[in-house]
Amino acid sequence: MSATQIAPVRDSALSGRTAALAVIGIAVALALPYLVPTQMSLLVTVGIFYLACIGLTPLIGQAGQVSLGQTMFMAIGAYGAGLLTLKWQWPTAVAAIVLALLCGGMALLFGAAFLRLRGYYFALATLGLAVAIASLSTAWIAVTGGPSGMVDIPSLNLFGYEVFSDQANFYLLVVLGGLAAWITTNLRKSQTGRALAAVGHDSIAAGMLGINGSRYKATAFAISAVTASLAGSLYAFYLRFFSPEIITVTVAFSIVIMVAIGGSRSAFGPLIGALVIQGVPQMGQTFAIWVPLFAGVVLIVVMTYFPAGLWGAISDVAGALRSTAPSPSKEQR
Amino acid sequence: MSALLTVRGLSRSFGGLAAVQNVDLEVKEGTIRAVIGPNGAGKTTLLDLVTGFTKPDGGSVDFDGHQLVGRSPRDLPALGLMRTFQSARLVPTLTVRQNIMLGAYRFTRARFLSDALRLPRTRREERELQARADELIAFLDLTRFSGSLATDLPAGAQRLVEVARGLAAAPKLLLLDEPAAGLDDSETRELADVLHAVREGGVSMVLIEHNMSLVLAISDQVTVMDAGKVIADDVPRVVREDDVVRKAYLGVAS
Repeated sequence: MSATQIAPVRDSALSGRTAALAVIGIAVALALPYLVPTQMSLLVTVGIFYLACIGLTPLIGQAGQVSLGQTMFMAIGAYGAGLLTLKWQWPTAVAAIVLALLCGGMALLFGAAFLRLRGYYFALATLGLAVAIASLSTAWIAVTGGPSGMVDIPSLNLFGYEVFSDQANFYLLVVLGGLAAWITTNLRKSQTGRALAAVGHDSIAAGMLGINGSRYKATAFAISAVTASLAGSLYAFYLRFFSPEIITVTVAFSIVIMVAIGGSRSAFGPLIGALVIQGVPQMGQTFAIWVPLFAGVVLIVVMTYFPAGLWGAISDVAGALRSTAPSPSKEQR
Repeated sequence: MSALLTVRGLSRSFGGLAAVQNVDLEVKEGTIRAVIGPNGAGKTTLLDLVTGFTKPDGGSVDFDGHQLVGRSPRDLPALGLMRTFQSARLVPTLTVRQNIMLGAYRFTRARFLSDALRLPRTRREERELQARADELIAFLDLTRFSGSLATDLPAGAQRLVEVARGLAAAPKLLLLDEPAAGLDDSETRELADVLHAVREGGVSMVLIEHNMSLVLAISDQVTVMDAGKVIADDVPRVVREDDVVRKAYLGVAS
């Protein structure tokens, strides 16, 4: 038809390259506590935010909807875990799982209402959730402890083992983060992911294929809620403390920024995003106050020049180096 | 041969404009029905009325024993009815193959949990969907584009992908909205061959088209519309010689 060379895109399930990257990733993760023993609390925080980010990728990357509501589900996961374990002596792991399911169910309900909204109105509605939970956690002192926070939350207990040390928490997060990465990758590469992408791009055309768009979008929203709730519970068990400062509206934005910076169509993207946004403040106390500015500038640069995120840009460069055939740039898409 | 699609008295006005007025149309099993007419004749509106994107003011649409008026477009693939759009509406983040696999959505049985955990049911279904897509890719001569992102393709190839996506659902009736728009002469001939082969495979079609040579080459019946009304309905040979049609439509060209 024409002489134009069009770059092929891999669409196999778990390609050799992805598997190799996953193996390297696991090896690095296991070695990290020995390589950078002084940075363990940073690594745990990155792991927790990775969990909050990875669950957002089906919603942002496939369904094309931005949710700023992650802090609300984190707050329910965190305060809920504190209450259930302190007041009613629930086992910690049971509390985390039940709260995650509760948040998933809530997201399905909210989703049914919110996802009828088009375009950025969904993002605005979820921003409302973030604002509401930030003030509620400060004001409802009887339940949350107010501005001074909830204290004496127990550590996570898994089958009699107390997940107390930074290292233990980190390894647990590697396992859960890896599991979440595996699940979201499976979804992306299945008919569910394709249907979600169709709904995100053109819900009318998707409807003509028989796809129920609102159900898919609500499911994607529920996935984000489940991982956010887990991240919140684990954060509370790790810190043995939780306060409104951890779930401000700024944090709600920074989670979305992590996903946007790293890229939402890969399990590695949010990892880069969480490392950049959580790691930069560690470069020095004086630098920390400039972090929001830094995040904003990075976001502008990434969104302007690398719409598929940093991981997307890295993949493109790697692809260009591997093949001699010219490939069309992302911007032309 | 019995009628697969029977449209009776279908009407729809937008404000004061009667976009479609009292239209009757029949598609017999295994045939191609072309709908031609100048811009604004109501062809695409007719298609939107049949597929439930637009609600009719009156009339009925009978498809294979089902009344379609009042149904959601979402129900149609399961009944065996698929359509393409005037400009290809493929998913830009998916490859050609993935887009065609999505066309077979009505056959998808594996659901969320199975897909999330990549259970055997999902793996089996993926293989089936891939095999089905590859068959259609070979049939439509799209093999060289199989792994490319759909919207990186030339416009003509994108339209063929949309046809393939429609066929992936194994429809009884395929509604094609100007599939030849933007194709050059050789691509149009290719499309004609493809549609001919599709009909040989037992799929009936409604073909909304501007390209007269394509219409005359492959249709069994032609409906001519002008200003929302049917002004002729016959075999291509007769329609071509019809004075009213010549004046209303072909007259534009001569």
